[in-house]
Amino acid sequence: MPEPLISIKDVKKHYPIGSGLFSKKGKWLKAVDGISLDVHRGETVGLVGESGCGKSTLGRMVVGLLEPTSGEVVFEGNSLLSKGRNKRDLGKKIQMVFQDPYSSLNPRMNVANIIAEPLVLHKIGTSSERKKRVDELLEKVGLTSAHGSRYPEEFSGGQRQRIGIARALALNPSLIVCDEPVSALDVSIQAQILNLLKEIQEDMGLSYIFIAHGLQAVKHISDRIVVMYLGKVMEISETDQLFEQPLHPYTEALISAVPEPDPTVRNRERILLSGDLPNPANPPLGCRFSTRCPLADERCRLEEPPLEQVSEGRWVACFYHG
Amino acid sequence: MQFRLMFQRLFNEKLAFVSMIFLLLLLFLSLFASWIVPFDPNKQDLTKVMLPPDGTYWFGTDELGRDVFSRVLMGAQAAIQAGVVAILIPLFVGVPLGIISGYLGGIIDDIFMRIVDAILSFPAILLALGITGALGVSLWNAMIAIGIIFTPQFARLARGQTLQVRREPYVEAAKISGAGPLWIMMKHILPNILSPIIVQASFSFSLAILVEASLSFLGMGAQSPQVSWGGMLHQAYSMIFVNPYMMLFPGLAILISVLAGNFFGDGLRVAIDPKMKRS
Repeated sequence: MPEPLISIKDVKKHYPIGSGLFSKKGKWLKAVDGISLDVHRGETVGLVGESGCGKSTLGRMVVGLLEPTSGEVVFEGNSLLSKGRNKRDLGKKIQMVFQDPYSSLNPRMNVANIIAEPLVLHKIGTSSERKKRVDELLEKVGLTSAHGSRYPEEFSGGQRQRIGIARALALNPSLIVCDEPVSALDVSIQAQILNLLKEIQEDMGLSYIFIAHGLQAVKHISDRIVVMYLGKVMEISETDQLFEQPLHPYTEALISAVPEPDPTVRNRERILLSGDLPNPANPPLGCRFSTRCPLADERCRLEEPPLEQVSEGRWVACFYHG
Repeated sequence: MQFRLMFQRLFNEKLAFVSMIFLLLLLFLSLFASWIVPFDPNKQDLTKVMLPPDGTYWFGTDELGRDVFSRVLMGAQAAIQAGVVAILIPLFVGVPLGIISGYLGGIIDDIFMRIVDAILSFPAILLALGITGALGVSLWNAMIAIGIIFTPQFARLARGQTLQVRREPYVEAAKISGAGPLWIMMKHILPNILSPIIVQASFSFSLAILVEASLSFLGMGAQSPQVSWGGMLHQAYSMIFVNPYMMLFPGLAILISVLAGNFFGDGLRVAIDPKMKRS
């Protein structure tokens, strides 16, 4: 096995809650509670879970917007937690594409300046070199250099997302964290953007961490899928295997939520989860999924199942998997 | 291109547009009044005291025989100076402090905002009187005082707006691109919070004219021979039953200028309302 591009090691992010002047109870909201994950070069890892499961928090820790409470992120052999110049240089290689194509572009900057900003900040090239690079990037994402002088409000959601992708590519990253990059777009545009991301990946050999709240969005782009629930990993698997034979009951429920395009397949078993996501500040004692799991029994409510490898590349955290 | 759109909307607001023309006229007067005035505003002619308006003296004359029309024109200078200085100080002090406070947060925010609260807890005119009293009585010090009392409002406004945009994804994108706090505040926050600040500035401009007139009326602003509308009112005050015209014209000048500032601010607010821009 080659060395992974990025290695997330038992990363946690805990937020203090209710720590007002008069209510110091020392409670913690465990948004991300011990996640380990390797991403290899050229690989796309889908990160799936309901809102509030910590997938975005994890993504933001990877790009350095948040500091983990504990744990380590090792990128190309260097820890991302060390401060200073080193971190800034490493950070160049990890970029992000945002969910909302409207608020992720500064409305007062023209497109060329938006895309060139990372280059300016890292003092790369002269201004004419940067201009050339911006034109290249615009073409790469399917726009033209004439678009450079326009402002974000003149573009549609899909075009804006292309601009966001061009910005993320400016520094030649080796990893891009895509935080639900298509969930805000029309269905017809979603496929275009996904295909663009795929093309870019083939072209530049970069890796993606692709965050989504449903399996449908990551099905076609991911090599591997990580299913998260309440800050913990429930299952890790190759995409095909996951759909063929989900091991975790939560994964099964997510798969049954993916719409079936074939109308002849009727009466498909639909697993509807009862209840809401438990409050992450007060997670269930045993398995976090036990409150909504159809298989849960006494053991699940008291004891937390560890994430165990069941076969090559397949990990699951459930006593009764399969 | 955004400014062209804004200007078009402003043009559609008739009242605001007329107000803008009037304010430009005022600005022009403040620069060139000394060449335009028909008479030297300080030249006394004791043979022609307290005349009512006529063909020669359009606004009449005061108790020393000075031409009131010339004095009203000259008074624009003090008014405009007060307005400009009074918004420049908060723009260059209050706005940066507000942005820093809102963006960095924490202890810096606490300290800045408590200072702001302390200043805001004084009645504005009393604070202005106190500051001019401490600095010495002159138009210049009155303007500084007005600037200081406006600073907290701008700091608060800038801070509030900064809190709204500091978590915007484009700010986070800039962080990922390697931007430091200074870059983010200058390139991403300031341009996006500027609109409400400009509106506030235009309201403050008219308020400053009013405060300057008040201070001069109380004798804490412009000193003779410098002409100011507030000072003229003070003079006319004792003559109100002898020659009411002396009071009418500087009073009207103040009224119209303040109204123009407010109408312009209203129009500007409509013209750059972010909600309308979204559509």
